[in-house]
Amino acid sequence: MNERVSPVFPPAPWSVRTKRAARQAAMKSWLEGMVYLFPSLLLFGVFLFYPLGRTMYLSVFHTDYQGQPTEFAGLAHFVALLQDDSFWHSLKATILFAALTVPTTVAVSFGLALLVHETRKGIGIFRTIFASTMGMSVGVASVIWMFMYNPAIGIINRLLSAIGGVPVSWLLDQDTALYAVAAATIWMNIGLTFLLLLAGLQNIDPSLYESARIAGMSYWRQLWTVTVPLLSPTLFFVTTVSLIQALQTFGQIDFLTKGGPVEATNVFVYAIYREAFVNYQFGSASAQAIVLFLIIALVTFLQFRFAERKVHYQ
Amino acid sequence: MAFLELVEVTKSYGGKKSAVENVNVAIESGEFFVLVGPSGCGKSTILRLIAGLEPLTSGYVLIDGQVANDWPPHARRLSMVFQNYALYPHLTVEQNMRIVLQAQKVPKEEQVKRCMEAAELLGLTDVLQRKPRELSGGQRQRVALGRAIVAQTPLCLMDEPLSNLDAKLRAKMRSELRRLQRQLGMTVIYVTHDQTEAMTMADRMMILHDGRPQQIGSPLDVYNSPDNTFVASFIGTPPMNLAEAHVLEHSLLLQNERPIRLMGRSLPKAERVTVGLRPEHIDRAESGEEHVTAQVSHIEWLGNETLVTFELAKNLYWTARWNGQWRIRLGEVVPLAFDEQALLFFDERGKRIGAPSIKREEVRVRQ
Amino acid sequence: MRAARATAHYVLLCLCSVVILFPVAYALLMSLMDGAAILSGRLWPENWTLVNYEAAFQQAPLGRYLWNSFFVAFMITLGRLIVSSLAAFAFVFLRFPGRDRWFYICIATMLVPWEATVIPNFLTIQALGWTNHYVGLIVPFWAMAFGIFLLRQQFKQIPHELYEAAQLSGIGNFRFFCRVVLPLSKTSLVTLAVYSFLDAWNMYLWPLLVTNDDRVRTVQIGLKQLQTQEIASSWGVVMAAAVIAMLPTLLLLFAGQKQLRKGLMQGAIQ
Repeated sequence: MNERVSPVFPPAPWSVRTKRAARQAAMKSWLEGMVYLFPSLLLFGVFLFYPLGRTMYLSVFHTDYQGQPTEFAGLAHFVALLQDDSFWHSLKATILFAALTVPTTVAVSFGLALLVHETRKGIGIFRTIFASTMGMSVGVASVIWMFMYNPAIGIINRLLSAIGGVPVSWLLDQDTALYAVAAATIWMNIGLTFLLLLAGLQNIDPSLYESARIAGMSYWRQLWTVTVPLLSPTLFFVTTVSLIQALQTFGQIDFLTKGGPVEATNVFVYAIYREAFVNYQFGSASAQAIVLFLIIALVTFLQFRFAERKVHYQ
Repeated sequence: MAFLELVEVTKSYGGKKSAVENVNVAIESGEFFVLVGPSGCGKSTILRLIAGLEPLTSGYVLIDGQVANDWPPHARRLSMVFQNYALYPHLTVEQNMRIVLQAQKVPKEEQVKRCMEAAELLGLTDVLQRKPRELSGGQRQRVALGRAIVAQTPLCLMDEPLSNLDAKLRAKMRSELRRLQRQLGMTVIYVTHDQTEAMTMADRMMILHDGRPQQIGSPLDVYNSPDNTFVASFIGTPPMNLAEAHVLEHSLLLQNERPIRLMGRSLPKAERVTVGLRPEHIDRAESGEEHVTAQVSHIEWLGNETLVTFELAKNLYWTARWNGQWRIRLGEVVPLAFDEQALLFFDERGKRIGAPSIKREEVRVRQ
Repeated sequence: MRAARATAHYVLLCLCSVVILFPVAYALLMSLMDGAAILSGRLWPENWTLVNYEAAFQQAPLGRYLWNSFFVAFMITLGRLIVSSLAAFAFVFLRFPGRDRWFYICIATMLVPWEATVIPNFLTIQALGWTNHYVGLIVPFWAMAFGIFLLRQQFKQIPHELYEAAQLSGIGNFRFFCRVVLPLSKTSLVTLAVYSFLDAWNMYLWPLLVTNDDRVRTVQIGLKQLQTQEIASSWGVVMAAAVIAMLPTLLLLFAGQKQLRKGLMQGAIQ
């Protein structure tokens, strides 16, 4: 190296100052970051982490009707839950409800998405129609379906009797109530699921289809060799989202059946709601809420893990 | 006093090898200084250290003689032109230039004035109201430059600013950029991996390899007297011919195979060396002249000159550059004369032995 | 052959559309019939009438409910956009100690269903005296992991050089956020806005718990009220209210459907 460096090395105390300056800079950047995060962290703290902790806390206490803990209960609430038929019943109803709604919603939405994936004249109108149920709020959807299920004047029984069937009290019969609510739910949820799956389909590189066509693959073969594998992350995501949604079902139950008849539709969240805000058993309701949290956390966690692996796999 | 100075600058990202190690350089005001080296050699990192976009691991950055290590980027009063131009895609050309001035709280009339001047200078007047995506690559490049110009910072850093342009435009922009820089009196530190760009544009340049500076000097200085084999082979197209050699009494033995007799050139003391010779120093031998014969293995006719590659020994190919168009056939055996005064010798570690044939100072005075 | 396939395709599309649209069309038709016609079980009105719509507005403060829903959904959306984009900006552009740890904490909130926290939240809102107030309906929903996640994905697409160029020219972080990051992320912001608005409009359990006053009740709760009060006698009124209540979200969806489809994918699968 022939370059001469002029001798302006900084004096010794300076290097001490720079360390302090570096610390100050780190502190400043931390403060600035925190300013941006503060709203989120505060809100998560107050309305998510604190209440989650509080729910855990309440779940091991007996409470008064205002939700104040009165006496330590230990695991009594949980033990009582496990021994309570109605808890098991509610769990069963929830699982059945999920089993009825999730696969059907995903399958129907997938079919609809495939139908409008091809570009044809006027396809945009059909896309809008298929997505439209996303704009149906729980209240609107529920009152419409409630009327459709009306035993005397509802369209469903009208059609039934037109083809010679016997009228059914869809929402009042404990054998049909859950199925009836599930049908309404599927209709409500199709919009979002459809939209997500369509977006997933459109993310697939069209040249893959072109090369499949050149290779002479039939439509169904293309579906199995190109579409399904490439869409599988989306399908999986949509399934878990629907599953979590199903586990959290509340609105349509409150509208259509109020958990009845004879607890046939008393799904998890509805059971929690009743225990807490009708029976004022906050401790026991909290214990159930913790069970719900554990189930949903598990499902979400599995989704994360699986999705992560999928990304590597691609 | 130097305008910008790097003193023992080192940057490591926690790995075994530092990305940049022990860089010392003083850059004068108004200088066009080029950092050149293959990709991954740390040249962009040095630029980012100067800009303050990344903290140093050790060493000092001095601006106007003051230690600037802890200064935030905007306090260093410099501008930067990025390889992908970093234009704000949602803003028009004018807004792209003015956003810089707004941040510096320049009065509005002054903003407009400076924008118009820069636009005029760069031929952007007609496209001031367009967005970047409506511009050609060359125009975008000019906008990026315009942003540096309107800021009127004394120092401008450029990170491969021409590499996204096609070859023809790039050649044109090289001279245009230099002209602008002289006209505005800017100090520029320019990063490139293209040695032609470095050679044609630099006042002085630093060649980097693996994060370590290899040589600093003017283009001709570096071309004529490379400090080591890396610089020798990196600078110049086609690159310098190199070969391992044994030093005998009055000759060299290239790759244990090909002896070359030297008439008037003193040889280094070492036993084993690497010899280097530029393609323009290999000529056709006239009859009676001391010569070496070799077989032609490849020919490139460039129109005004011809590049002929010979196989001197097994797997040892040297290229000669001859003016004009030569009718030679592949496989032909040609007598060659080497300009022995132009031979360079490097030791086993690749460092050049002996004095340079042209003094450094002369070059700098002459340009 | 090709024409036959196209025809079959259109027939299939129309059939599916009829099935999906049927409940809506049915509600619309019922809302335009008088009570007697509904009870007789007709499907097509003989005399078109708007009496049900008049009645819906007279018998319940439907206008008030709609306004409440709109205001609450709008404020939730606005708050979410602000809170989420600030956090996402910090996670993408700022370098500060503990950044990644905070990000994981934010993402971890996706594991917690709102229902699991609803009891203490209700007690908190009660203690704050926010029941029957808009704030109680709005503020708890401002922080949203999905929103942060979606916007973070979007912000990551912005070339880092833009940020560095801004730093060099002395454009501060907040200025860069407002003048560059937000304008460049319009699609994602619209997506999040549409999604949030629909989500907030659809909210049911929470307003059920924290409101019992018509002045702040949302339209979902209003429909519930109407449905429980009316029963058989005036289904037409309930259907009229339902038709009115679905209009805002349906319009929003029609307008934002394309954006929503594009934007949701970014955050959903990455």
